[in-house]
Amino acid sequence: MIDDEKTQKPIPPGQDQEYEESEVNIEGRRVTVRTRKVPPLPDWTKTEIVGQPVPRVDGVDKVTGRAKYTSDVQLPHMLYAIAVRSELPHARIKNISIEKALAHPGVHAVLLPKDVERYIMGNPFAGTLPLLTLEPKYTGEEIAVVAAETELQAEDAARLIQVDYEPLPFVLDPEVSMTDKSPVKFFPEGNFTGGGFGQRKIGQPSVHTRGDLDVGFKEADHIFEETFRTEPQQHACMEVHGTTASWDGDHLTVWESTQGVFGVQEEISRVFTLPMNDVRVIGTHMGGGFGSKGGAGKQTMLAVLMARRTGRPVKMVLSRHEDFMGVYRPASIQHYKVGVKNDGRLTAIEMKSVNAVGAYMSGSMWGNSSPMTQQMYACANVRTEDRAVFTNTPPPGAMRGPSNVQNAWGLEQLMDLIAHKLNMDPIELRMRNDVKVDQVTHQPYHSKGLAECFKLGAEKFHWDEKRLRRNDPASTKKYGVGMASQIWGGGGGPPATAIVKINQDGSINLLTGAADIGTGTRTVMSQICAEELGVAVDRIHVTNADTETTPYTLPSYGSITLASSGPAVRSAANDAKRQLLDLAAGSLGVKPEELSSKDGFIFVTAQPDKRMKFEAAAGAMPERTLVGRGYRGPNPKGQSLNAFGAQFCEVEIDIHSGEVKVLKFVAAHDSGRVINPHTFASQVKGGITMGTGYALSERRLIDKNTGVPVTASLLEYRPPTSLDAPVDIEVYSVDVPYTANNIGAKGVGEPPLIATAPAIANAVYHATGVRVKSNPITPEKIIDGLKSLGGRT
Amino acid sequence: MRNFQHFNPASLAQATTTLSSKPDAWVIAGGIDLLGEMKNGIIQPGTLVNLKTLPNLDYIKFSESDGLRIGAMATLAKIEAHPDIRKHFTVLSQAAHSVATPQIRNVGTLGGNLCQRPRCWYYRNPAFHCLKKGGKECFSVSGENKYNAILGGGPVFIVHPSDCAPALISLGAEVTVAGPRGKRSMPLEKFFILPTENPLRENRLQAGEVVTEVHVPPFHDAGSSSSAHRSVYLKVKERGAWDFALASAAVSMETNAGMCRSVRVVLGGVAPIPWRCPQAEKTCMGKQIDEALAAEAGKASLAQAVPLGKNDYKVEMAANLIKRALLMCSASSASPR
Repeated sequence: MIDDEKTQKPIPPGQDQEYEESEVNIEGRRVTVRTRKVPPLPDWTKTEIVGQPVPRVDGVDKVTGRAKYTSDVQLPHMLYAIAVRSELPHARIKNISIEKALAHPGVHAVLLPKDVERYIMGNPFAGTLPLLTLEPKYTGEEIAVVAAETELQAEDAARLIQVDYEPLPFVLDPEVSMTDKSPVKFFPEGNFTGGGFGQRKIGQPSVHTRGDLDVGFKEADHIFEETFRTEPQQHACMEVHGTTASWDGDHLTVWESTQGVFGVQEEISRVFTLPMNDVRVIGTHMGGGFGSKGGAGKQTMLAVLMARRTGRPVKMVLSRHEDFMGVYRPASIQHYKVGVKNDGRLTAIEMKSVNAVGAYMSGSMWGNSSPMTQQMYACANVRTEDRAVFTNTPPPGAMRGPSNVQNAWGLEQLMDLIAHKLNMDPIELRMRNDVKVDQVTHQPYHSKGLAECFKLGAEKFHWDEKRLRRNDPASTKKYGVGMASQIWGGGGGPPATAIVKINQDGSINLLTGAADIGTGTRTVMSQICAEELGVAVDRIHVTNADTETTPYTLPSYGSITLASSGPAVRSAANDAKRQLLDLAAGSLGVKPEELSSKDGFIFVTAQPDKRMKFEAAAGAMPERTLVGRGYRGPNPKGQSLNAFGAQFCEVEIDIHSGEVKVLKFVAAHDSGRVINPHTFASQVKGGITMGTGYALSERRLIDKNTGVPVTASLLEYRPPTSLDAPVDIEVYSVDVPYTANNIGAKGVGEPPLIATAPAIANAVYHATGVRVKSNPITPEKIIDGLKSLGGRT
Repeated sequence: MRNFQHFNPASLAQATTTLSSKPDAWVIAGGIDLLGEMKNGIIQPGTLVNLKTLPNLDYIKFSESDGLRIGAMATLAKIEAHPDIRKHFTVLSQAAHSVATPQIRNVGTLGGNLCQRPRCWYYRNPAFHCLKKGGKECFSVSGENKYNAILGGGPVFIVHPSDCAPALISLGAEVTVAGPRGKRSMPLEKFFILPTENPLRENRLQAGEVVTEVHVPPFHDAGSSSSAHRSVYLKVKERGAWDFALASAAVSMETNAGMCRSVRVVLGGVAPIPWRCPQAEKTCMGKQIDEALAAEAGKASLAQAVPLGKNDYKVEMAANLIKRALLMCSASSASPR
């Protein structure tokens, strides 16, 4: 993890000239790090393996069940740990009786708040969280942990722990919490703070301001005032949060379902004051994170402590119900006031957002929903205020495209609304407000393929034609089309290190710390390595996400994995290749720079039949092994690195039942070079599926009278099923050249989700005239909306 | 989930005797609903009496003279795919098909579908000791009630979750139950009870009784050239699969020369029991069904609806479904618009 303290670490004397500063944009947070200067590699002009739809290197392992996930880890004498969780949204605990639980068969230990109070998770910047608490601030907060020999014994024992609560007042609604009427006071200075990554101060919103709103609104021909709302969204990862911890003397091994093993290692090492070489974290295979597994969880620390206490390996994997009582994308309320000229140019944007961030400071980082408002469209006069409001709900966290996904729901519907009002094509309106410079940093975009996305997407979708279609007034089925666009980071950056090892038989081990959170990291890194070495992908074995055997890289968040670790892998492969060519040059009697490596042969570039097999060169290595090292170099200075995209969709609405069906999606994304069209398309389709759930069915609901979540299951939370995901999704890359790193790629993890929900909402409006301003767009809202339009149903 | 004994009875008689003699014994068929309740800690059976190993409970028999007989252990997958059911009792095939997911329909049984417990999230959540579980309060009244009842509610406001029940009632089905004192039959419509009669239960099953068969009588004059029988099940849900009805409508109609000769209209998802709509039936009887009449029938059926605050939408939705189902069943407009 990067934190502010670390970015300011001094560089050892004498090494300064080898390093330089580089900006990295993670989830919208810009950090400056020092990084090694890396010799530039020539751009790949023609590629053989990169750009090919190579099947996933671990596909067979996954579909046969051979791939081992944290939940699969079974160790001899392993115990199962389960948390006792608060039944109330706010309470003081007067007593905890554990005698019955301790006497239950198979039970080894119970941990109480007093046993763990000296271990604090988090940091002053991010906010801290107690591992166990005597004053729970949300339903489901951890109070105690019990470990037993079987899961059933642990469950029974957890029920036998008697907790005496003194109920305290609670507040769930952020708009109530912000006022004097709030029954709970979270801090003396107030119940909200600024949202986002900047300096936050309790009682004050975080503010971005430029130009002069009064001037902007005076220039405007039209002023729009609208409020949009988003519900919390849960990650609902296929693999729930979980940890298995095992001590071997003072050496700790932790299997963690995580997006970043090094962050988990750092946190464990810091919380328990352990040397990092005694903390091994393994996360080779994991079943989805979407931001919820960016670092260690409470269960990580509790499993480690319980394993220490009992002298046994301990597995602590949450149940689906528990998982649903945890992390999520926070809800938002977005108030907009926008000034527009007759020709569509924006003259002023004022936006105030209210974001419900739970009871702890840690949630406030995710309590903003204005970054797109600040950046997406050219506008000289802008003011945004984000309030992160404390509530008695669980702490939210990062979730795929944090802030931008909420923001796009409002902003991209607002643009649609304006376009309809001005009788303008929504694409045309967006293009009139196109901007080549990042208006927040004042840096030019290194590359921006948004116009290309509009053009290609509109063409493939037949936008012009479909947009003008009219519905049969007699039919109860209405059809409509909508589009939306997006911006995200995804430029990646240092630090990332990779190691490529060539064995004497010519086989290759690639060691990278990068997680494969289901995105295909292992596959694309193999392709990059194979491309650079000039060998086939099947010659490469990837070892990843293991702090003991792989070198450091940033976690897989912020869509940075490919653009961070990919260039390091290419550099490492290049380093190994150069060493091998040095050796081969001797055998072939030429200079190393006269040689190339391709298709499994090392040959004289000017005389291709003068060649030797790759493995023959490897067989001649005196050390029998050769190690190439590669580092992620700095990003280009003074430029903003962003990924762009546009999505188009068609919906069918039954005005009798209110049901919305998504018939088609066309997605055009600017992600630089596509390393693997298969995994690229999978990412986009996954994002659109997730966005369809956000738009149409998913809703986390906490009972307003009791503060207890009522949607804590896959049935009640309603993620999309295979019948809800759009059947027809076309995915395109616009292939705008990108040279900010040595592989020419930007990330595509988060971008595909951002535009999806507003594109659907815009299509619903186009079909019915109903503007649904709060998600999800359920049948109820269509029926109510049509009723208030006075339309025939 | 607590530990329990799993018991395979040798006969139906042994099953019902065991169920009536052990107060903490529960019957398990497909187990879809039961396991959910056990995992959520709503019930804690000491013994499960398994019906899956009993012979001759999963039949589907059809003849023109006797109609349709379905054993309680027939799976929903078998029911939805059965050619005679698809042909003659479309409403039932559609209702079975609309349940949950293919995996669940492969395991879930007709008996289980009829006897499943409510899906109200207050009932399903162990944190709420609600009226349905013997507590004092129906939390939906002042709480999150968008899925709750608009008709027949009080003192609890659950909706009956079954899709097959409205379909079968629209077909005039009878249900047979077996218990320690033998078998008895009743119209399926009478099998379900309102919470005013007993807030803890949804049906008339007594201790030790299990559903064994559902019988759908034959139609009066199927075969006459001028008469036709059509039936349809329409269900609205918030996602494509694995969801219960926000509202559903089962309509079964006989027409002769375009006139409605007999019709049954039953709503699902709106009341604590499958909700028969006599007003709609009366509106249609003896008439040719057109848009206006169908709309009137729908409106009339919902005239008594009392929404709770967050479920007003169900009124319009259910009326629309009745209208559409009636039009689909009437000969003049066979396909929905």
